[in-house]
Amino acid sequence: MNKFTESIPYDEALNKGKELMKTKKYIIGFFIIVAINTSYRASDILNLKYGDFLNGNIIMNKELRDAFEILQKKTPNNKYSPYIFLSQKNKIYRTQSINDILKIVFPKYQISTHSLRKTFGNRAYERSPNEKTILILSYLFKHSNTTKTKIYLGI
Amino acid sequence: MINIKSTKIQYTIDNYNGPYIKTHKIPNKTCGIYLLYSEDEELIYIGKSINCIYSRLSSHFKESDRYVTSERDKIIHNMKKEETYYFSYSVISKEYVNSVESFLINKYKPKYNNPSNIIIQKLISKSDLIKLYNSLCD
Repeated sequence: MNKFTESIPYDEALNKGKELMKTKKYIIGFFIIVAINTSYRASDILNLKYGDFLNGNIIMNKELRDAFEILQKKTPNNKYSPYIFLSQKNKIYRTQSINDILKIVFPKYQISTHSLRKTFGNRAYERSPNEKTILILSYLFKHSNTTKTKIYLGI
Repeated sequence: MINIKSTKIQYTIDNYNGPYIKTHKIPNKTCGIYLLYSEDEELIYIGKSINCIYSRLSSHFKESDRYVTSERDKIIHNMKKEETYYFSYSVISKEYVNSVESFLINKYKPKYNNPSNIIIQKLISKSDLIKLYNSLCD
């Protein structure tokens, strides 16, 4: 039987992210919050730098802005690397390791790093279920047409 | 020769090479963009590769269907094999390759690049995006 990547409810993922932001695993918490509030793939998120958030390259909503403020307080002077998502070895996390960590964080679901991207899409469509949202999402996801976006989100 | 000027960086693409058969001239394991020209020197496709420009470029001319994955590859796959194509390439660092590629596609609109993204981009304003991002946490 084929196993499909499930989407996690937005509120559940957000709460889990906020919870983790308070612990030592705050980088994973921040990853979850970035993933559900932007349309980026895991590999794109992992290569983000502090500068990308500070320069306004990324559109931030309230939740993401709050999370970034907390992150800045936790790592005030990161002199060693401009990258955010560094592991204990001071190297950027691999997508595969993030995948493994997420499976531990959300044990109830059949998930992968795409789950959080689907969460973003489903939440946006829930908020305004119309064709224009699908069009914007297909642009953000870089899909070639809106049919692909509908299949991706399971609409 | 194409000069790309932006506020942050300036690139010059002038490595105009011969027919596609000579693609082995491209150094291995390079990240960058490539421009594909028809025999009449019309720009027909702009592509990028993160791992190896040579293998990405030569995949357009492979006989096997294994490499034909997307719609645009199908179109290129159907190009006449006996015709001569020309290409130029530029080695660009990983962080800028996406923005340079989309900038070039929007400027020159080559016929084999996917036009739907260009059309959609015109329909969507930045305020639409901000509205969508803010609606998530309302």
